[in-house]
Amino acid sequence: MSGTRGTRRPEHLRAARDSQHVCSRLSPLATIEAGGDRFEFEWGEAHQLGTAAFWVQQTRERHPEPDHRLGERTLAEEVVACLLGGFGLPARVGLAAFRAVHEAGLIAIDPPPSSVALERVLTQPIALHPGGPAVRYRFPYQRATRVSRALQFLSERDVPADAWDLRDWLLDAPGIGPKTASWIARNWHGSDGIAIIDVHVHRAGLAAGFFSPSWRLPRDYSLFESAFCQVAAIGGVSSAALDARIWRDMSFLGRAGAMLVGPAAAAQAATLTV
Amino acid sequence: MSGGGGSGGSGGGFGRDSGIDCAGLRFDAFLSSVDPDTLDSISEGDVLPVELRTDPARALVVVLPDGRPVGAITRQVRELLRCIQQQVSYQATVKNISGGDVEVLVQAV
Repeated sequence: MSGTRGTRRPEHLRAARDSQHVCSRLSPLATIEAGGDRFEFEWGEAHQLGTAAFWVQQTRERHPEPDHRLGERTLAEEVVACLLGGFGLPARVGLAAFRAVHEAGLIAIDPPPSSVALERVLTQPIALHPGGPAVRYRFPYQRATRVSRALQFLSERDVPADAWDLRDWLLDAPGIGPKTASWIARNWHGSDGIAIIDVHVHRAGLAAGFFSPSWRLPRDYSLFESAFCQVAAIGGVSSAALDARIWRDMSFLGRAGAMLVGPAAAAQAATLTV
Repeated sequence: MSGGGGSGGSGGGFGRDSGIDCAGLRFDAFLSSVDPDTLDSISEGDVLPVELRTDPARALVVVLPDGRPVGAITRQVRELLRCIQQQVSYQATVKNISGGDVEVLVQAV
């Protein structure tokens, strides 16, 4: 058997050779454009861990949930959930903090809560799940301020209807950068074409070769996003599903992720600040 | 979610996967990218080791006793990697060989 079972090689790929087996060194090449430059990278084969072909195949085989929303009903909830998650703490802790703030009735825009009220909740031990162990939230003061200011921002303006307009609009909110704005907009609208370049996706993309090591976040966010969405298109999967697959697997693996993407990518990702 | 959100991104991603029963991890798989030169060396019922190779590319491969890779595993990759990191070893029992397709049962040693 050669290549990947049951999948067609996309036309964007230039095959370096027709038949691949597990000992092969050669790999098909893919071409993408970013920032006006075209560059080639090795697409890889589905069995070659950490390559674009691998991630696409994993995305096809394991279907992430179609609904990306973290909140329950409103954009304000989604904003709060994303602001309380994010860099520097485990996903389950961010979600537990969101639940605590939600249960305290502090996700509101009329009027928005004060940062002091939010601090009061976030400085208390937070149960990871009902009846479960309690943990301390790592950034109670910083995130309380961000949530309060973001909800104030929402209360003062009309929300754009379009996903991309929403992302751009959120960038004007205090404490919301391109990754968080993209995360909120993608979750809220379920939009394809918006990529969330977090530490896991960054690390995986560097290792797979479709992100340039010279790009920096947040400065070059649009380059990362463009490259990522092109890879998804070449692979015939949605960028949202690809993003979700990479994030879930890299998050799941933790330190073992180095076995998947290699120590070099891990070292490069270590310098990332979003 | 470190990183964020990741994507949290990934969305939906807030939820965290549960732990794995590494000793009980067991599944059938068709090997990917089988090396046809190895097919004469395997038979149904053979028990072969599973290894993480990094050269020429990173792959979870089923190997012959002489070290030659027969083919690669692309199912349950993240679970296997995490368990291998925990020093659990896996083997593949050849269940069926048909043309160039090789079906194996993967389980802990």
